[in-house]
Amino acid sequence: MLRYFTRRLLLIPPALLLVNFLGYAYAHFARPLRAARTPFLPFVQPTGPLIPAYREYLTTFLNPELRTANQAGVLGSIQEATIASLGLIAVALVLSVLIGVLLGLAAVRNEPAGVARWLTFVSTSGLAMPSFYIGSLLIASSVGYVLWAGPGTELPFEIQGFGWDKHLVFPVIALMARPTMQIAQLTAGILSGELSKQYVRAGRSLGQTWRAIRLKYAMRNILAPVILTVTASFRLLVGELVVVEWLFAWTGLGRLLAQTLVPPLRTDSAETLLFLDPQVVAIILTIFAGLFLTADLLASFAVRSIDPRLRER
Amino acid sequence: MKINWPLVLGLLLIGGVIYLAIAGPALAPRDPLEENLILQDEVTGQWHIPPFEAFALTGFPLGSDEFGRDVYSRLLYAVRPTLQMVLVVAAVRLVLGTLIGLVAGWSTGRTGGFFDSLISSALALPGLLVALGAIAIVGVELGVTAFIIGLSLTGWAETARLVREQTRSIRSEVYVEAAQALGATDAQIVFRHVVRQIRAMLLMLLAFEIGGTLMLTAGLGFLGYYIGGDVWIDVADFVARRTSGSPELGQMLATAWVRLTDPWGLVAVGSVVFAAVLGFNLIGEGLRLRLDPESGMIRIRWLSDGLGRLRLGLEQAWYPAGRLLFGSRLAVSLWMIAFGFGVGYAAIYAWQAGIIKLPEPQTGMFFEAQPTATPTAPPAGTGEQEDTGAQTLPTAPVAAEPEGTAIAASFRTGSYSMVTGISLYQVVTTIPSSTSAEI
Repeated sequence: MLRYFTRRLLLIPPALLLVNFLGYAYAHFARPLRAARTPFLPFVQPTGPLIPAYREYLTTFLNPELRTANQAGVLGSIQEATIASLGLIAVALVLSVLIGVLLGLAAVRNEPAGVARWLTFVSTSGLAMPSFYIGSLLIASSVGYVLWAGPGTELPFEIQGFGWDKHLVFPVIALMARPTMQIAQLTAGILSGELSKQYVRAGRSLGQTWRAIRLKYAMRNILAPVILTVTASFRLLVGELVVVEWLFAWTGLGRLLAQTLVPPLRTDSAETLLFLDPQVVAIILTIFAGLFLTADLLASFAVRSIDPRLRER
Repeated sequence: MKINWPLVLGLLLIGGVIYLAIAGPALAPRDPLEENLILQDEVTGQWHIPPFEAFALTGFPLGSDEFGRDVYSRLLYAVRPTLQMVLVVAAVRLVLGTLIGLVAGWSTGRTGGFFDSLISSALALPGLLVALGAIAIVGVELGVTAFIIGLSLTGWAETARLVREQTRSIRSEVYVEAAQALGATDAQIVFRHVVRQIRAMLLMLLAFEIGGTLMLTAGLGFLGYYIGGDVWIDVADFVARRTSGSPELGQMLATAWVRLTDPWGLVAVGSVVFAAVLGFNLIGEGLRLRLDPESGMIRIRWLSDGLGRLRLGLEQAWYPAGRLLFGSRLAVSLWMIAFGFGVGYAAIYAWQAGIIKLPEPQTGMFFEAQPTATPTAPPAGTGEQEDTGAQTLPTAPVAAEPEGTAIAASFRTGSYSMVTGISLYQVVTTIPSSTSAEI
């Protein structure tokens, strides 16, 4: 197992470097292409060859003494955005796992083993709700509450902006809805399959309670697939981050990525400078790739620690 | 015996959405492209400037966007183009996923390993981010093609994974072994046995694909990438502005929420998207239950038996006819030539009839303002009057009005009627915020 993890760990830096290069190359070619087709970026300078430009970018970014004021500013903004996004993701993921697993466990019938029908409708509805729709419902309910309560009433939760206080509530709810339903659905499906196995029947015939069978045996057996499901939900959550941060004006990585990939409404806005900026695109994609690879590594480690059958692979 | 509620509810929801797609334009009370600079409510007598708030102006139940276009009417028009685009993209994703899944499931060794890695990599990437990146470089000027590229780049992966699993399980069946022993080639076995076994599952996958594609399309639209988007107008010497034209759900999601305290338009459009995605997902779930023999769902026995007999009869009748028509390579070649001629003729006919239009050669999307296209005032007494409650004043040449003047105008602009957009933009920016209160 040690060899497996050493190999995986050693693969991460070259993988990140590759993603960084691909991200840079993508924006390097895309920016002039888009500028030629739209009135966008009318001041775009003709780009030179990719490799020297990338080498220069790497040299200046990796060496703090060579960084320009602009690059230092970009790095500072990305650092702040990363902290804002990681906080949001962490809170949403923890709540998704807790609520999702509890919902999944509650929806499984013991005898005959199966999933309660209410979960099908709850999870199908939850998975069909785009995060911006959940967000807009939350905002509409807030506005409705203020209109109903009369003038002078404050919003119960902030609907725009960044902050580690009431600002966090709506973005977290909008972000965690779909991953929660995904975890609940899959947990219930896996547990229901586990409870229909022979050893459960044997346990029951030996006088074990359902509670004991679930906690002692079934949960241990389903833990590995549940962890893999959580990893898949993490990817879903990061994908949704772009939309949720855009809706709630949360100054995180998702919003920054959207600003680099979506042209702003007016060409004189400050966001124009960000559109397809190779340096920003490369760094954000590298951070996202780093998140995915770390999550994958941690999940592999956890799964192999829990399930001895997987350790030899 | 249980009733397949997910399937029933899903069909009901999708029936409603399809009804909206077909009859929506006929139900719309207003022209979805009609822009209104300022309107007086005939009930309250109050004047309103866009964006009109929801439930505040008679005839505009869901309010308007920043150009004063009725959100309710636009919503009724928007379902059809979105659904058409989503169906095309979902079909492309399904075909790609099925082909890759079949190859991955049937191949062994390095080829199988390569396709396994390909599917795993595509599954690991968030679809929205990939689509955003792809459309950012391709540009929405390509129309539906841009969305097909963006949404299909990795969107086929889930279908491919499921088809691969199914193909692998069929591969180990005895009848496949028997077919191999009888000398059937891999292609023959895949198309005669594997595809036949998975085709029922494909319908379920199509339903899920449509739901997933619609969800991604809505997300892209919300962020600013939608069909017909990225149209630019000159505002000043160095400033251009992105605007939007014909109604489409994604475009409406991007433009419906203009004012922070007025999210009702966004909620309304989001509800339609939610209903459609939920409907397709429920249909997919219902079909999954239908395919599961242990679910005990009701089967309409006389119908399924009758359909089975009909299919058997058709196959028996088709066998000799098929031998005659497609029995030799010459016959197949002749058919292919005939098919090519048919497609070419249909395309020319459609082009001549104006059903399909070839793209106009363009030097860029940077439109210049043309003074000749400024809307002109109609003769006195013939101004457009709406019959939906809100009083609409006659069209007026808006660009020449002095700053701060209250301008009442209502006119219709096409999707890419840039000049009107410029005029509107200039006038709206010159009206001080206190104008409506003064009026």
